[in-house]
Amino acid sequence: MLPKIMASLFFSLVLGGMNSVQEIRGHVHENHLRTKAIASYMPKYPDVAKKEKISGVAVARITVDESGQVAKVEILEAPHPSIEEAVKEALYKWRFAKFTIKGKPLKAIGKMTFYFVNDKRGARVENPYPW
Amino acid sequence: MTDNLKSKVEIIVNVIIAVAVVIVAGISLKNYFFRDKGSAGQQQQQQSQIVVGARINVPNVNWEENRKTLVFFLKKDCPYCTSSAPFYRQLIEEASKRGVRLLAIVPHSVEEGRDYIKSLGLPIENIQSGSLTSYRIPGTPTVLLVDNTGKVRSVWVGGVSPDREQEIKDNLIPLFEADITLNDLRTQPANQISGTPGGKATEDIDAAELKKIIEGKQKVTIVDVDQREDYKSEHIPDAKNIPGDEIFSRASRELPKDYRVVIYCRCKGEGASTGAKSELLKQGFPQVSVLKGGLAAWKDIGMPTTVPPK
Repeated sequence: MLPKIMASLFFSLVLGGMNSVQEIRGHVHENHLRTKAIASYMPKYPDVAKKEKISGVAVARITVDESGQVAKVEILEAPHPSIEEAVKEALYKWRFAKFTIKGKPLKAIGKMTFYFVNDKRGARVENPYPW
Repeated sequence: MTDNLKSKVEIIVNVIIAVAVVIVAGISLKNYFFRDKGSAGQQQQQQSQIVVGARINVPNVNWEENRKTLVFFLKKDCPYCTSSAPFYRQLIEEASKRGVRLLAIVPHSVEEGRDYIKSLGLPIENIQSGSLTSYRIPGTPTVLLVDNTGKVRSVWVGGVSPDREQEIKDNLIPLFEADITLNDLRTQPANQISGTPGGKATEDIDAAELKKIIEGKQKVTIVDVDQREDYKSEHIPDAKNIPGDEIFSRASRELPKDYRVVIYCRCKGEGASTGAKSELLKQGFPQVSVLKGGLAAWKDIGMPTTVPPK
């Protein structure tokens, strides 16, 4: 009896809490994020990074709100501050199809990766495999 | 008499010249009109239908953003579109697993197209409106696979009968993969790689074996699959940090396939390492091992770690 009461109390607290916040968050894979993108923009290679021959990978964590807009961009890794800014600027422009779970809108959190390449072919930004 | 003969010869010569001129003119005219008409017709026929190798432009679509895009040309009230929908759902599932972007082009408004595609149960979010003839599409349904340069890599026109499904799967799905990975898999399939010193190619190893591999100067990449904060606080010297949830996106670009990959984490039961190993094997890495016991096991045998300066 006691476990049943405890369980019902637990679920009512959890579900009650969720209803009061009215927000469901979910972590999504980069693959899923990219396939749900309606509008996507490549970051620009900053002039200062080009000049200084800076290259490398940039990884950002983004939060997509229930309407499909990018609400937050957090840079996790980037080879130069100017590249951080370029990635932020581009990602805030992205638009996604709404993420839902069982018909309810979902706030999606996921990572996005870009490669800043500067070699004989020139400076350019590339998507990772397999995009 | 001589004058008479002369005039007769002249007439004959003139007639011969006239006949020759008519023949030559006739041949020239025939060549000019008929042969040109023929080649123009062939060109017209070649241009009348989209073919593999052709380039395609879709407004507001930048092919460079994705390595591959699967484009569906569909039309409301097209019976073959409806009958092929279950197969297209399978195809979309395979495409999504491999990061292929999906796009649908319909000859109606985007809203009508969205409703129609939803009614078919196809999870395509990016829908564009456009004339099918402007894309040289001979009929609906048509499925194209377009690469990141806008070049058409595969064309499948018409409804999909059950016996054609396998043919399409066999030919189209391998093209979803990036070409380099496919070639790597062809030349060096993971299940044909023989064992290497320090254990079999895909067998997990302990810290002592890793030490031997490093001391033996074998080609090895050590990968720390924990998050950046953990890596920054302490890691095996020369280990590369790719967090487990980034392996899918980053491995093929950042890890050399001809090196053995040894993965470690700080997790109980090596959950993160095992997940990363499974992903690397899927991507065609032939030699992947988990370091049993992770970073703790490495330290237990007295091996050094890199820690940030205090």
